Amino acid sequence: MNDEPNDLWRALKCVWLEQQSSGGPALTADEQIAVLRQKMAKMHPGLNKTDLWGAALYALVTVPFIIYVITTPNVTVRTGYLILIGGMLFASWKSIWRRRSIAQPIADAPVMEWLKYDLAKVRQHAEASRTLLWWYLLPFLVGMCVATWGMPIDLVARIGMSAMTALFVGVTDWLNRRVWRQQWIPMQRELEALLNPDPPVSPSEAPKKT
Amino acid sequence: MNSGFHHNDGRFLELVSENRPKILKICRAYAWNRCDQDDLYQEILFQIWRGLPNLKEESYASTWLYRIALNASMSFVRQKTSRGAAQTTTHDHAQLEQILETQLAPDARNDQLARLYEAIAQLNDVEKALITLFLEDLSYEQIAAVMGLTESNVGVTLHRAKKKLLTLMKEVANE
Repeated sequence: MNDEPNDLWRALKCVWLEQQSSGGPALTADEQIAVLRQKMAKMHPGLNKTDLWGAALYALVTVPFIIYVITTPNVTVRTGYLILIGGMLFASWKSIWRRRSIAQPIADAPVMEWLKYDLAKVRQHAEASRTLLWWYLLPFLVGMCVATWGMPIDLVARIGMSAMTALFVGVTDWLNRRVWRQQWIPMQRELEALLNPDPPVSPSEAPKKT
Repeated sequence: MNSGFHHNDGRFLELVSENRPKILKICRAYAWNRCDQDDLYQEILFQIWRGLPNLKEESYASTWLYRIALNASMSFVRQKTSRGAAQTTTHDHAQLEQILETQLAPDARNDQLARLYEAIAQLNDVEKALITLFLEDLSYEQIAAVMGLTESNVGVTLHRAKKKLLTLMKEVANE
């Protein structure tokens, strides 16, 4: 038995199809094309430019540490700075790899394919966010502490600098875990629910074609 | 047509002008305030503009356009969410009513349309897409092509979405 209120659906379809369309920015054809060309020109350099700027920024931050490594005679300090440089290089590579590892589908791909892509990206962000301590913060903490403890400064200064670094790392990790819990995990669950909806339907729920 | 336009510009403007009502309805289903609707409209046009060279068969244009519009809308909503902007749901009744009042003239037909939009806003992204395509009078086969689902999957999910929508519309009407 068809328990669907077909008349109601017909009426709703009618209302939907006959609704007056209003809204949308009031642009002339020339203005619209100009806006789109401008937007296209802005995004043209895209991924390469983003990666280049990201890598340049990391390189810039690394330069002073490279100078310290070359000029510092103390082996412990050198080791600390080398850990820092290694950590930064790894973080830079990881950011570039993350942006490029999942291929974006074409704009007119089926909706579910886009959702799968969205889910893969969100999972990747969530994982990077969850493990930030290990691949970003810990090399920084270890490098800074090793370098600090090799420096010819008094004990209180060493303890103070190490404590400040640990505090910075702790706060960053706490904020990051908060973002992971409150943003990435709910978004991941929402997408998973969209892609894997409810349990199988019972025979009584079998659909009828309209 | 402006003589300064390229061949693709003309094709783009023609496609947008023919399908403007469809695009606006999708914008309204996914974005609730006028500002977001305008942003989403521009984003959809941009995706159409970018993807137009890939549209080889004009007969495929409708499915192609729905896919682009829905993909852009879902990405738009998710970007808004990830930037921390709270999604407007129909739990914010006062805000929604205010928005609907400014967008729709008050008569019985528009009242029904307002209830429909209010209920659609409470569906999830996939249900919204299915209901929108169903209301646009697409066949199961066409909906399946847009969504990338099998026809039987479309049938089951759409059946559930329709039931949910009717319940939501009743709730909206009773309030």
